[in-house]
Amino acid sequence: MSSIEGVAAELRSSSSELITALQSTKEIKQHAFERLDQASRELARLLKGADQLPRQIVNDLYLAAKILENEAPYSKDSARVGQMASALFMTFDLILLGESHDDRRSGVPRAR
Amino acid sequence: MPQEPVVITGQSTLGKITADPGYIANMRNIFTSDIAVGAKLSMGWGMTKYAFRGSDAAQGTVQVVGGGLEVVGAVGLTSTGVGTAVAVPLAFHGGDNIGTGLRRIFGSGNGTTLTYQGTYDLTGSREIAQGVDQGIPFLGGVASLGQGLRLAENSVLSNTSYRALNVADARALEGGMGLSGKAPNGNWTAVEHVLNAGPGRGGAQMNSPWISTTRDLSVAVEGYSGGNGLVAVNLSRVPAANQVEVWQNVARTNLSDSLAYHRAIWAQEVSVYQSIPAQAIYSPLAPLSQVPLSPIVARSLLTGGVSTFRFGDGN
Repeated sequence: MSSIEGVAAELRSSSSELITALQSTKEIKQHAFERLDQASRELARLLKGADQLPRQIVNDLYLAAKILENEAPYSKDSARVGQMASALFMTFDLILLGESHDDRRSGVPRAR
Repeated sequence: MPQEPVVITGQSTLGKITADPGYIANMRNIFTSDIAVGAKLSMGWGMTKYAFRGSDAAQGTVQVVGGGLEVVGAVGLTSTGVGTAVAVPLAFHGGDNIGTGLRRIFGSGNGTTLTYQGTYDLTGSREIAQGVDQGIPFLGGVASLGQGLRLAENSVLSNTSYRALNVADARALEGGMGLSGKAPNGNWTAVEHVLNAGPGRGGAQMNSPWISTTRDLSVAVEGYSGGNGLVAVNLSRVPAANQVEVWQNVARTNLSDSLAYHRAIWAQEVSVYQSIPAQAIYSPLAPLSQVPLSPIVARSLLTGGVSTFRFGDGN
């Protein structure tokens, strides 16, 4: 089972790789985003149902989502970068709700 | 002041040769006479030239001063390789003029320099000797002018950053104004501006009071150009307290600082708070528009002009 520290390290590493390239050479590193997305989903699983959240790592996830959102208009593929931001915002919102992606499966109706 | 009565004695001085009353007395006579002001100035200038031509002390003094300026100019020129090629003969010629001028002040020699004499002995031509003697300080003046312009240009460029204009920037400049941050009253920090993420919704457009500029022209051209033009910013005309280079101020202990550091380094960003005044903005092709040229020209004229165009008997 992953630890919070291990997930946090992976999230920061993948965020740096993705955002540094996007803000300098404007390269969109899909593999780095996939690493970031997986780390953030794992973070949501680890924090599911927790009453208290580790502020720093949750803020790092939120920061990455906001940077992607703000850089999207200046990127080579604004729709793709915008979708990346949306995916991270979704994970962030699930963490605040105490849920994870497993609780919301596509094609499965849910009343509340 | 009471005037003394004019006494007419009936004796005429016509036909007598009298001693020159001296430069000061002559000038006083000219400027207390009844002739027009323009004529007074003209006569005064003529009298001054006459007195100078006739005075070894005055000409020797000018020669010493000119030689000293040549030496000073030569020292200044030694900072560059090309300048040194001119500086060595200029320094020699300056020393030559100082020595010759001193000899003239103290009553020996007629102002002819060793440079002139040596060239004349070699070529047998007074024209060539005079050309060399006056050409050296002239070249020194030209070299001094070139060096002064280059140093001034380097001084401006070393404190210049560049900005690729957006539409709002271009409109502001067309209206004769300077540049402003997207949200001049926003509360983002410089680090958040470089990150392009901070508190609140709406991004930099709604929250950042900072203006991005870069010290690297290629970053402005290749990284941020939006087709609205590009300007240079003379940072010495922007308050120092309003300039931040984020990479120098972050500890890189967390993700946001680390990202900001790397972006600021890559972009060589100088973030300017709220506004850049119009007088700090210039064309990247014209850095000399940011410096007063008259002191540079005056220095060049002093280096080369006094010795080149001084009055002299033999040269």
